[in-house]
Amino acid sequence: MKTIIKIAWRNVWRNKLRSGVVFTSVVLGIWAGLFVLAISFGMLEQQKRGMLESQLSHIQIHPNNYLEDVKLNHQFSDSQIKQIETVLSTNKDVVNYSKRSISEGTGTTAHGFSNLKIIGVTPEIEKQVTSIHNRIIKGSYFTKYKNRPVLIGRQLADQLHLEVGKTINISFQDKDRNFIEAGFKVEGIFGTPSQSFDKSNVFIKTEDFTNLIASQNPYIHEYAININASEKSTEVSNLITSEIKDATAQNWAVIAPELSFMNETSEASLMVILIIIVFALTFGIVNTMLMAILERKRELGMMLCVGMNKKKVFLMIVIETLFLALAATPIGLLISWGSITYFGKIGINLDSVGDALYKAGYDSMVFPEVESSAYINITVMIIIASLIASIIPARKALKYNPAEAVRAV
Amino acid sequence: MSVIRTENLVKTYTQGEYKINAVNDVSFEIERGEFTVICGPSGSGKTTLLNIMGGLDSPTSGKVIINDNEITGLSENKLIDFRLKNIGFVFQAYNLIPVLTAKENVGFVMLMQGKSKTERTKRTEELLKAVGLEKEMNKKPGQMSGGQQQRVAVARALASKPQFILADEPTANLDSASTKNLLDIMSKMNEEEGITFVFSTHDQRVIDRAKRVVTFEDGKLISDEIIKK
Repeated sequence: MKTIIKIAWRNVWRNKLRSGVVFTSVVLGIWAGLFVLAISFGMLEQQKRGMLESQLSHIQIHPNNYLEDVKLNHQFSDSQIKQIETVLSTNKDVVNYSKRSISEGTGTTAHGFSNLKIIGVTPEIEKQVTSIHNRIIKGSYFTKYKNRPVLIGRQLADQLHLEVGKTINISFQDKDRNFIEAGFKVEGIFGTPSQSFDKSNVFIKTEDFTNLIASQNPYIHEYAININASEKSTEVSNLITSEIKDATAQNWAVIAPELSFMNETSEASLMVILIIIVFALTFGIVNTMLMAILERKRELGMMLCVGMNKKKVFLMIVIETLFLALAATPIGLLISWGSITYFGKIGINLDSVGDALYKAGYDSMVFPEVESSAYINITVMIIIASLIASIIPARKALKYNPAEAVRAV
Repeated sequence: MSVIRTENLVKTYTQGEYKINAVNDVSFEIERGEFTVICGPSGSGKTTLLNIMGGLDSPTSGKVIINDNEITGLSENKLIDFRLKNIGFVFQAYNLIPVLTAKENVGFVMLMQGKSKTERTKRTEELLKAVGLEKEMNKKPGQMSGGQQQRVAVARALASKPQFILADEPTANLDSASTKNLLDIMSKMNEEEGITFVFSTHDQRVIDRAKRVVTFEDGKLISDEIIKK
């Protein structure tokens, strides 16, 4: 076995140029596959993170009647609030949470109107849970105006020709279905990767929300909760649901199934891209090995003549093919890891297609990232592809008639 | 005692509508310790006969018996195993493994036989010394002359301690000096160790060294002559 491995390894280096071409294609294939994967995965993760950070958070709790019918008076009761806050304060996975008042309404200016989701927040608490304060591209985050400030998205600002300091009339129905309308001063314009979010969500202070509906106490419709690990969100949300009455905790994948679906379908389509790249490499490897087998016909014939059995000849070709493909794999993985780590830190600026990315819900600054399992997956794929690739040349070698092969020119 | 016996060997090839008898009803025996040359013009069937005797090709009819074991009809795997244990081959184009050293090339067959490393090393060194290549042991074929490579091939053929050695045109690619040197070594091994050599050649230099010359023409054995020296 040792000698077979030795022969196979040395054979790889017999034609340095040809092996070099295969190595280069394997390195480039791995790098291209992983880098494309990292860019796509990075974009998706950024989008997911953006959505989680800007509004969704990991888990949200709503009253059950609110989930069935979004109405202003379908808010949490005082006893529910007490119960939820007890549960959240005792759950070790919960990092922080924010209470929100929510109403559907419209925003109007002289230039038009837009349907809105009006979110009432306590600025300092919301700051701990979501990243809207970090996404202010113009103006400030609830620090400048004392009287009814509002944060709006850049898409809404464009649509309604709003600037910082200008006023937008926000209206919605109170619990008795009376229209309430009030002017809010634009204090900040935020920009998230999601165009639709930026168009239809505004943030106001909970106290202004409460004052508008002339209530003594705030109407709380939503708890936005961050936990210490995104992957625990299902487990934690189920636990919270089981401990509270007439309310349901949902994780981000349930609240925004399109985000989770997009994640899964993108992972599948990226895997298909990887498979195509590895498949293409397989053809290159098969071709190289077939040439090598043809060139070494006489030598293989001699081996069969002198008594090397077919099993060993087959094994030798398989090992040689594996060496040919796998010798370059560590280099490909290393280059991929290096470039992904580097660009993962400094980012790739795609400003030239920034508008298109924004419309699709992505940031124009992309930070490639990839799960470590991708490195293992591509290595396994290459091993499997090499094994498959080795079968054709190995079978061809076995078909040689030793008496003819030893006389091959 | 015969080491190789052929009985009514026939090998027919079909070329379009024509049938060609490359070997036509050949029966003869080779005794242990012979230094036999099978000669004849190109296309006379000598290489086909050698291939059949070596279990590399199967006859259309007839038998090949080696040490009382009939090899015609053996499965391909059994033939490979039989060749490994019983037959040494020397080819016209040396056919050494280019990525292995002379020592590794000689040890290769013994490795296939499952011999221990100690035994392999000892025999390899003995054989390479016998063919005058003790200083070239660690050279790869590409670093050796044609004559040296063919001597390594002879050492490799002897490594498995075969019943006999089949050499197909072993001197065809060699110059006179290398041919003389190679034939000296083979003759010495035949004389001193009783190793059986069967050559297929039309090289007069080899024929001149033979103890027995079997001549073929059109697949038929036309003469079988013992040379008395």
